Amino acid sequence: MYRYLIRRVLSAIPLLFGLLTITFFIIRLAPGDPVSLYVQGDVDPHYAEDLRAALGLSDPLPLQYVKWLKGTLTGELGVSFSKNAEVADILLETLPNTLLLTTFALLFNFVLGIGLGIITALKRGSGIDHTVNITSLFVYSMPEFWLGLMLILGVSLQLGVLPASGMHSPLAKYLSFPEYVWDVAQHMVLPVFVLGVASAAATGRYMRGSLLEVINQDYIRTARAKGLSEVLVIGKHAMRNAMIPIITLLGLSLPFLLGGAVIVETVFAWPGMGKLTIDAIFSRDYPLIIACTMVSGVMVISGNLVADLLYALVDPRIRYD
Amino acid sequence: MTERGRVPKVRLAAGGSPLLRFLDRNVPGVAFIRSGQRRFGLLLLGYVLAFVVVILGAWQDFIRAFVSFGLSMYLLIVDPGHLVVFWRGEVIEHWIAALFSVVMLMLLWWLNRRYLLVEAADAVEHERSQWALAWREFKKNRVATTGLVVIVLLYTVVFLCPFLAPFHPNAFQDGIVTKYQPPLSTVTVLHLKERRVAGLEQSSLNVDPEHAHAIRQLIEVNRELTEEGFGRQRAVDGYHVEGSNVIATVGNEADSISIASLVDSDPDVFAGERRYLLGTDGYGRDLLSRILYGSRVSLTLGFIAVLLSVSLGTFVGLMAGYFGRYTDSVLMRIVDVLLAFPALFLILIIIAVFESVSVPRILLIVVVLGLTSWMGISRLVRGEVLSLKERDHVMAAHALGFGHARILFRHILPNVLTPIIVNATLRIGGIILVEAALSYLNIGVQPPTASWGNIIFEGKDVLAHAWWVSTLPGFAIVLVVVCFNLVGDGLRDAFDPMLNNERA
Repeated sequence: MYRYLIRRVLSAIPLLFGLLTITFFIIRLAPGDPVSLYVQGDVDPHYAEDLRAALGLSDPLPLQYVKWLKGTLTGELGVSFSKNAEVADILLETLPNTLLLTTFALLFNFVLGIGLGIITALKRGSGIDHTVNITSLFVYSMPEFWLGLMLILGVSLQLGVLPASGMHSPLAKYLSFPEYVWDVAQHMVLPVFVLGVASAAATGRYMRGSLLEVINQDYIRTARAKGLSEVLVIGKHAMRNAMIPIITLLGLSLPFLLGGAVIVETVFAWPGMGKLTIDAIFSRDYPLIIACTMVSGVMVISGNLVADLLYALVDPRIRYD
Repeated sequence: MTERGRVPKVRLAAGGSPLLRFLDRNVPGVAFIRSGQRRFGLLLLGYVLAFVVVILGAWQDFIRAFVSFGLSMYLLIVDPGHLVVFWRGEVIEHWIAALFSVVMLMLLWWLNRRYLLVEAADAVEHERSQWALAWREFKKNRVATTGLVVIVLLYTVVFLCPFLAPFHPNAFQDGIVTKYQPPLSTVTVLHLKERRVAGLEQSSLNVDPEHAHAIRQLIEVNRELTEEGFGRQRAVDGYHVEGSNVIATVGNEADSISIASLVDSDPDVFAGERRYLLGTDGYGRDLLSRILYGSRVSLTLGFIAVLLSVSLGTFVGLMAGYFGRYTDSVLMRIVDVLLAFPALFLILIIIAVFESVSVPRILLIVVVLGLTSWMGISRLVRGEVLSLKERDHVMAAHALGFGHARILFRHILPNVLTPIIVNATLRIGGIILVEAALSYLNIGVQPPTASWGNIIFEGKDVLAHAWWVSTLPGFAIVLVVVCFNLVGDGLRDAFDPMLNNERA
């Protein structure tokens, strides 16, 4: 097991390296000069030269690459062009916000998805089953940003129940701790719902299919014949096997959640990494773009890793050597 | 619209008057209804009638489009130099709409006739290919066929939108009056005698007198076709007649217009109403027209991007699976790396970075969407190829000394087509969603070109007092994506009856 773990972690390294290299070259080979964003009009051309040199953009490409690689490996992520601050600091500030959002979205996704999957599988062919299936189809086919806007329109603007955007109220810093948490929680409801609900629809579909497959097997009939209660049969015997494919979904849904976070954070003005990435891309802030990509890449790769390991944990038939 | 090609053959209902038999042969659908395939027949008949209704409803534009097309072709031969000078790119969409409706009608008529006439030679029936079987299976699935019908209709709309849209999608005038009109509202308009903005001075044209007449006509026709604004109309909040003038109120101001400049002196004639079925946006542009035109972006772009990504993914998957060893390792490692990018990041980076390159934005988006979504397909294809290449028929092909290309494309590819097709159909919906998201982030299709995503973007800041701008295009997106997902699910079930409804 440990050996497998080490091997998987080691094999993730070239993946990460490839990811970073691709990002680096896409960005550097692109036309368009970031300096021109800051130096406009009839400024002394020497100033532009100096700025370029200071930002390390006047070196030849391979040299830039090596320098950047060295920096990255030693944890030096560089200085953001547009925010004039250490990239690492900016990330430390925004990453927790995104993690907060995605963690709750992931939880919501699995609680709702698994719940609906179990209900629809057990009540197959019933009215509930059809309703849930049709609703899932529509939710799944909805653009996230539109769903977000519709919720802002309906819940925040019309009903006036939840805040429409941001992460806390303007005066949040004067609140006591429990009040602060409550404030953030209120702001979080809509983004978490939007981010999680589409994946929940997909999870529900998988769960339903997976449980239906298990439920018709002999050992379940045996368990019932033994006189076990239905709760025990489903909850313990059937779920144990039906959960296996769902566990893999856990890791695989991370890229979608992170991609979705870009949209959801923009819609709800959530100060997280997604919004940061968009801002960085628009201001051609190379170090920041690369760092954001790296962080999200690390999360995706580790998500897959976790999924693999969980897979081994829940299914003892799988042995990794 | 390939699915029309799989229409089942019909035995003509025996007997009937000569009129009925004439209808059987010449009106698509009638024979199907008469011979018992009522659902299909009605659909076909309805589709044909819809074309006729659209053409009749927009017959002026229809005729103009043909005149414009004919004159342009004529000038292209006799005087290409001047054609270039007076060329208006926008008229092409009218040509396409007009030609499409005629060609589609002829095609349907011909298909209908053909499938009736070959009915005698029943021998053709024996080819119960995998496709024919799948199609039969698919037809039983009502939900999926409904999805397919909606998709066919939507793609028809894409071609016909110049005829269907009540106004030009970018037409705006008198913004103070027309902006943010809610759905179903009407605006009062005054009909003017002259165009408000004078067109090109025709007398100053220095043209070879031989073709001058044709050129003038072409200019006139093209201008009628592509007229953006409401050239001869003026939208007002209210008006009243004072002597020989009409006093129009526009916002807080009053404007006096001489009755002589209106089409008639009778208020019942010179004043009219313009109805906005789905309301207007902040510039006073008609939302229905914009949504109709926006369908072109979403539907064509999604389709082409998927075509691109499926071709690329299939190619990579074939190579990796078939050649194995190093090719496989290298290609699959590339796939792994690309899959490690969170869905949207890669697309965002590439588009943002290549924004300044002077290619049309739509092309850039198609290419980027295509190039960033092929990995799933290539994994799928690779897996299939790995098992296929050990099969006997491939071994036999090897033994016969066939080349790699022939084995790949004649013996392996046909066997992986079905999962590819199912996967591609399910993917179109996703791609349409991504494209809309890009437009929403304002890096997709750029205004003033309408796309569903950028209409929603334009409406997001006025949600509170003009909810319809952002809300309505969203329904269009949901409709399209739902239909593609339904068809995809239907295809999957049809191609793989074993899986049938038991699962998902």
